[in-house]
Amino acid sequence: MIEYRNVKKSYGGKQIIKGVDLTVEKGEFVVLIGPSGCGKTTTLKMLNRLIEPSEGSIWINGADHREMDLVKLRTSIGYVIQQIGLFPNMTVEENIAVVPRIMKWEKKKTLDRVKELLNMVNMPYNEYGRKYPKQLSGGQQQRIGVLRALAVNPPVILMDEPFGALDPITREILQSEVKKIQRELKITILFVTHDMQEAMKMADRIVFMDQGRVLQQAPPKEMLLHPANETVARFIALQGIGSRTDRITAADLMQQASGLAAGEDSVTVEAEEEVKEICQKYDLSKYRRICVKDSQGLLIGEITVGSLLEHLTEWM
Amino acid sequence: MSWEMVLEHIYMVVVSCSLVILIGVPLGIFAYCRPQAGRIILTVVDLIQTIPVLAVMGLLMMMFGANSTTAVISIVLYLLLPIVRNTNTGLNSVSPILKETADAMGMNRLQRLVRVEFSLAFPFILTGIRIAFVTAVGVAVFGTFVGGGGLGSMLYRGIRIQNFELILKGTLTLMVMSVFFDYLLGFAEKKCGGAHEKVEK
Repeated sequence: MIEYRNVKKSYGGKQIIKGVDLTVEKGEFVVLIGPSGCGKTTTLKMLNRLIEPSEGSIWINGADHREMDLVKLRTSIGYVIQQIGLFPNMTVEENIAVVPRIMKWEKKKTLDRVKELLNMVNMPYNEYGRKYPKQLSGGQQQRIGVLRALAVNPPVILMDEPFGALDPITREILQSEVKKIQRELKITILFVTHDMQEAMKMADRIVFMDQGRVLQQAPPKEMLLHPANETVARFIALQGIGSRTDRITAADLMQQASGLAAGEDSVTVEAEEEVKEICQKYDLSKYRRICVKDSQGLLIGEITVGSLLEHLTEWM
Repeated sequence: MSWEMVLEHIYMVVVSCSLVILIGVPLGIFAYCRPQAGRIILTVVDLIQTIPVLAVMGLLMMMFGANSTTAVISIVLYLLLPIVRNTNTGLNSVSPILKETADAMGMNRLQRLVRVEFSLAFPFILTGIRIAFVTAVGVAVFGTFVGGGGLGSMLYRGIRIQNFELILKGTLTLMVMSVFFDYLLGFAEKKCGGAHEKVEK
């Protein structure tokens, strides 16, 4: 549904984006990640034309986005940034109603929508509708920022480090809320962060960028297990993700094999079992092999304890 | 002192301030929207301010004759600076992030100007208006020299005949007037500007 075709961007002769090709499917949650200055925010802002590409083109549902009406394009793409993005001169209600007003919704319809959205995050209209952003906590402000982006049910939402300024607990709650809303409403989200843990948690697919190029595009687990090159691997390691083995299951590590038999030197685990749990549950020094069975109890592969330990040290 | 003088004075202040708001605020907005022309406007407004009021009044009297219109026009010219500057500064101080967000939401230039930029700059503009009113009370004193009347004539007469009481009365009345306008507009500032600044604890 969204397609970047060899998109480049230069400022004063310096090329910031050096040819990005990226396809995003409907309902997909894509996280752009990379060190600062890698071009992830620029890539994001080119979609709603806050920044115009120098070369290449971006296609939305088969149409070149430069040929679309600018207001129509922007009202169909929600936009969330850090909490500073709420208009301080407007109440919560007015902030959420910004895009409906631009689209000339009826007052009644707008009000109903505002109430509906506020209920969705347990911030009743009667209590919060008339408040100004400064009267809310950081987490509440950011919720309103998300609601504002959802107001007219846009098919696409752009999020630029939306939770960067929040404390870890609030951040985690909001991450879950957004992920849930995205799944339920099947919204396409492009999300920029420099936090690998956030990317792992949110993404269907992570797009790793560095110096204006896409280095790797992969689902979270795959990127974690098989970083495309040194830069990606180092970035992941630096962020402490290496020690985080959640979400990696026995099935991810096993070598497929047939005709296996469990023996005295082996322990048998479910394919869906997480590696972390396996390490906690069994004393692996007593075994040489881990046999992996599927939900029907059939052995489908094995992991040698040696290779598992190798992986674990790599992740540390 | 007669009430007539006080009323004449208030007339000059209110009329000139109303005019200067009507001219100065749009000029400040224009200077913001067209920065190149804006630099010229701001320089000109600055320059006008450097000419002594009395000289401006004298020059204008040649054109418009000795009446309160001359006085009012002079005061307007003199007060352009605080209004234009404050409007311009207020608009320029709006966070670029908010401007970009307004664009991203799909606002057009006018919507962004009215609903975001002007609205956020409004406290600055009110401060400019407040300065203008208080300054006008003082500047209007010179109105008497070009036939504008007002409390200036009382002060002038007091100085000529060295009457301490007359000077004191005139001065006190002017001070009361200044304080009144200052308080009134300070109140308006609090009412309009500060709503979103308040933090409930």
